[in-house]
Amino acid sequence: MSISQKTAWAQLGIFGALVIGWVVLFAVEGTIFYWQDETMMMAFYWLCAAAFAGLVVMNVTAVIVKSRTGAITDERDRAIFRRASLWATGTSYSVVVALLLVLAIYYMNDGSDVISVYFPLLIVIVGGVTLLLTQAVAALLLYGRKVNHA
Amino acid sequence: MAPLQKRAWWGLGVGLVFAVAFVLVFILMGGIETFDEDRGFRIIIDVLWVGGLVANLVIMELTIRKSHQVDERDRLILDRAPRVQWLAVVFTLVAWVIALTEVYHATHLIPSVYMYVIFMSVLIVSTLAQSLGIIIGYWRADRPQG
Repeated sequence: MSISQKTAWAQLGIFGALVIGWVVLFAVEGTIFYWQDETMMMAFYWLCAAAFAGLVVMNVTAVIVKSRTGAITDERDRAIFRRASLWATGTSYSVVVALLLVLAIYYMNDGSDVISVYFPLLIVIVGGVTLLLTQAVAALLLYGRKVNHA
Repeated sequence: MAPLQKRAWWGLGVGLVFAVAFVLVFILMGGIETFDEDRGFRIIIDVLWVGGLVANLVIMELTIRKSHQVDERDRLILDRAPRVQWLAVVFTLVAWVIALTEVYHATHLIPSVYMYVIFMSVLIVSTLAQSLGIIIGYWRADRPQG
C-alpha cells in the first residue's frame, strides 16, 4: 500500500469519525441547529476543530514519513489524486449549491422573514467535509480499480 | 492562442459584464429589502444571473463539443479548472459568512432571502472562476520552466 493510499484511508477515518460524531451529537440533542444551545455549539466546533487538526497532523506525518523512509509518490498516485480531487470538487460544489437552493426555497415558501446567521457557516463546513470525504473515497475506489486491472 | 483559451477569455468577459450589471441593478434598485418585495426587480435579477450562466455555457460548450479543437493538454487544463472554481466558491461563502455575521451581529438573524442571493452569487462566481481557471491553466502551462 502506497503512502498516498494510506493517507486516503486516514482522511476517510478522520472525516468519517467527524460525520459519526455529528450524527451522535444531533441525535442526543434532537436537532441539527447546533447554534440553539451554547454547549452543543461548542461540541460541534470542537468536533470540527479536532477533525481539521487531524488532517494537518496526517499531512505533516506523511511528509515526515516520506522524507525519512524515502517513500515516493509516482505518476499513478498523482493521476489518482487528480481524478479524485475532480470528483470531490464536483460533489462538494453540487452539495453546497443544492443546500443553498433547498434552504432558500424552504424558508421563502415557509413565510419566514429571518433565518439564523449560522446557516451559511454550516453550509461552508458541510461543503468542506464533503470535499475531503469524497476525495478520500474516490481515491480509494480508484486505487481498488487500478489494482483489479493490474 | 488555443480555441479553448480564446473561449475562456470570451467567457470571462461576457460573465463579468453580466456580473457587474447584476451588482449595479441590485444596488441601484434598492438592495435586499426591495428585492424581497418587488417582483419586477426579482425577475430582472433572475434574467441577469441566468443570462450570464447561459451565455457562458454556450461560449464554452461551443469549443468543448468540437473535439478537434481540444487536445490532451486542453483537457488537462480543463480538468484542473474546478480547483479554482471550488476555491472561488469557498472564498465567496466565507466572505458572505463574515459580512452577514458582522452586519447582523446584534440579532444573529438574517433575512431569509439572503440564501437565494448567496445561491445566485455562488453560481455567478463559479462560472467566472471556471473561465479564470482555464486562463490560469494556460498561463502556467506557457510559463517558461526555471
